[in-house]
Amino acid sequence: MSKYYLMPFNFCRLSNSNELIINTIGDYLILPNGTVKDIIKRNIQKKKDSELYLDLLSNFFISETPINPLIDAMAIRYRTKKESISNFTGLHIFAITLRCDHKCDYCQVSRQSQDFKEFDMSLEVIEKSIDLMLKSPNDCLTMEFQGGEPLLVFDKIKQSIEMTKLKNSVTNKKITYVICTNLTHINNEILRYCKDNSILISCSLDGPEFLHNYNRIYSNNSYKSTIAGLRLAQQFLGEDRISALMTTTTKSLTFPLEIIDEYRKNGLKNIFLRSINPYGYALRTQKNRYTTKQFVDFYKKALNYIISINLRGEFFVEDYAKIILTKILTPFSLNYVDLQSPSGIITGVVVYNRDGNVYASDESRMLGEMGDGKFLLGNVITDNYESIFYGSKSSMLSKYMCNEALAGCNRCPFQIYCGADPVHNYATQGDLYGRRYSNAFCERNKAILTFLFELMNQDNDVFEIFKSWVLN
Amino acid sequence: MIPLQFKGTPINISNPVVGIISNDILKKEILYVSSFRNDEKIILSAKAVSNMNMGVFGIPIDNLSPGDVVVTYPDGVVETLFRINSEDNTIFMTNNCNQNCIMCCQPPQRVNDIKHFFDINYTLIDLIPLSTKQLGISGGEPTLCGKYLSLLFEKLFNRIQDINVFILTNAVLLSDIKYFKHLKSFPKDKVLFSIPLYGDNSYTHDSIVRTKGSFYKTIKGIYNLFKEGYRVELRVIPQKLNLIRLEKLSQFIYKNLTFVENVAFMGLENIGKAQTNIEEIWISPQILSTHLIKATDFLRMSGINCSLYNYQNCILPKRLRHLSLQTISDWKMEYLPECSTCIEKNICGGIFNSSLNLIKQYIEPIKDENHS
Repeated sequence: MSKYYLMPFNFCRLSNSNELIINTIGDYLILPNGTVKDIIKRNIQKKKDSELYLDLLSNFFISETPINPLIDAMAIRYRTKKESISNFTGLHIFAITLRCDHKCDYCQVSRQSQDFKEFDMSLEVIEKSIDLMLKSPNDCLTMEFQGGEPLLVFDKIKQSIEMTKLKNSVTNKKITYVICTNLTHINNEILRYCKDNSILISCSLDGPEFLHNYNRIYSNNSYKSTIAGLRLAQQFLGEDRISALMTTTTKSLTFPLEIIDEYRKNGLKNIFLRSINPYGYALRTQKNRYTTKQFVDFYKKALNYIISINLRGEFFVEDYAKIILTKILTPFSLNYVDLQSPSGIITGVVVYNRDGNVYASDESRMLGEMGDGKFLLGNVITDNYESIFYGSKSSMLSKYMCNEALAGCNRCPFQIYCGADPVHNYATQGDLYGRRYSNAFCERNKAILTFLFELMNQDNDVFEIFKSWVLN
Repeated sequence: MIPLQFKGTPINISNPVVGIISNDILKKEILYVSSFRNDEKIILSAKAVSNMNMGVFGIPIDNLSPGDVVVTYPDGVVETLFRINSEDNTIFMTNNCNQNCIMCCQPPQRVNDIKHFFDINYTLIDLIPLSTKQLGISGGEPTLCGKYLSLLFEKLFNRIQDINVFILTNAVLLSDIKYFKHLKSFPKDKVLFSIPLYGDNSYTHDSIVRTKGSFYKTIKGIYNLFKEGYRVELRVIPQKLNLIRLEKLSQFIYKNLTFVENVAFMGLENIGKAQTNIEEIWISPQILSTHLIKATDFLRMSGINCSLYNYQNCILPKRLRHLSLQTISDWKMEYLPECSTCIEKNICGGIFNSSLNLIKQYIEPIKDENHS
């Protein structure tokens, strides 16, 4: 028996007779079945299993002293992985209008007809929201305009940005502006303003024409106007200034390859394969209900296709895999608020609704619009920064924001790569804590993480492609 | 190769004298050395000179230029400390070391020499030109000099503010944050700490530096430097003992020491301990290359600068050649006669004169761009 000490780690079995061990700072090793038992029984010997022993030592799975001599290095690693929380709220979403010209079935927002101006954000709410945003301790902010369709109120966007610039001359933060739009109302004047102010554009593209138009309902041809807008924006701003986002509906599940090809056809170098949140307005109709397993199967088919594209020499990235692979393969994390522990709600994102209500996330706003104020943190007119961001609501929610402290997550090997989502738990399971064994968030992430590890382990070329997505 | 140390016949030299080769050369074979301390003039010459009050004869003075700084010892040894026409000047601090590396090219000695070298170097700093761009600090282990290191840096940076200095240190003593009081005189942006790291774990690293506990102390020292805002470069010497974990070392560096400025992979210098232990450390260039490719590919992909020191272009695979720098100090670098036919000679780092015999068999002049 060897004398060494175990550092904290969790493990699971992969399908191909391998075991995966992952520690608290995100180092992992894939080992033959039975190795974990040997590690724990102190059967790994320095002389006999030299390379494995050194791998375990070098990757902080074992230590030869009760306290690892590199504990300070581990502390820095841990802090680096969790860096997003030390900056506090960076993403500030302005739901500047509820009005929209589309009537998509899966819309999670309680969209209003484009004629009712009372569903726009008032100047007073805009100003108070900006004041709150600029109070964030984070030096780098993203101000994101959502709707409804924000370009229906482009004047208000302009006013908001001009007001922010003026006020920020005192606070001096680095601010990135983003407009999320369906592009039907894009024109040269708007694009010129976007160019002058380095505004990023994010649009919705669900796939080929038949699928896009099936999902996204518009009086004219939504696909044609989106593609025309995309072309115009790409020419005007440059391809890297505009990104597209897809939502997976039941119909999409059959067409992973066609969706990806549509993205490639339009000069896009990446795609975010996004499932519909299984709650809220999105589920009004039967049309958008599918199981997590159906989505995961779709995701796997799509990812395999994307890998084959990369293997042929074309650089094309799946963004969700990239977010997870960054956590696995680098010492860092990307600032992606939906997969963090502590959870990204409040610590990473808040939403200012057009009525002045401040919500913990986009999904929280949707619950709010449906009459459930569980994640309503306060109002920009009546409340101040402290009571919204550090008030009793935030404090209550924070108890459910760390997966380290959630049953089921605490022993999950993927804990350091995954997150906590109390909004999802509440919306799908009725309480903030949630039950992992029947939790869709858990099921989806576990399946995708396992899939990524198996891919990396089976094929070195795939591993190289993944590395090319995330390193540097 | 340019010799830096000569032995001649001394006349009336009672103490080590540091001085600068003066501009007024009387005859071709006679040089004056102006001593800094007391305005004496010392004569260096190839042949005996009549009426030599103080000096050394029997010295091949062709290798010296006006502006060079030399030290003259009572036993007739004359050593070049600073060469005016070179960018490779290094200040030697001590022969002592707290490690005992298996491939050390300058084996450590336990001698009481810290004050001796300090006195010489302290004078030397007054004599080097204000236009000096770069200076190295080495030993032995320079951090063993503690307050003397501090005093030397204080003087150096008082005299030449924008000089770049690199210090070769194993960082073991820097594991104790209390040591950092000696670094107060170091301008953080001007000093680069070049630190050897030979493995991703204590067994591999310590088996090479042959001092137990070194790995953990070196890593801690590097972290302390990082926390205090100093610049760090890592130096790796691939050899038999760390070759199979070379790529893992790159991964360890990326994950745990992401902040380093550069990682240099360095060829062995077949002198000192390396010569004695050559069987335990030597690996053929072919085997070396496969591991070097993996280790450097990973670092480059991860956005960490890396470079190759002391390797010849013709023994490196084509894809690694652009990482190779001409780093062998000019005074100990040579080419083989056949190198004159190589189209990459002007961008090749050359060969350590000490390693000629080992490397010779692998040298194959590059004749066209497709040489792989």
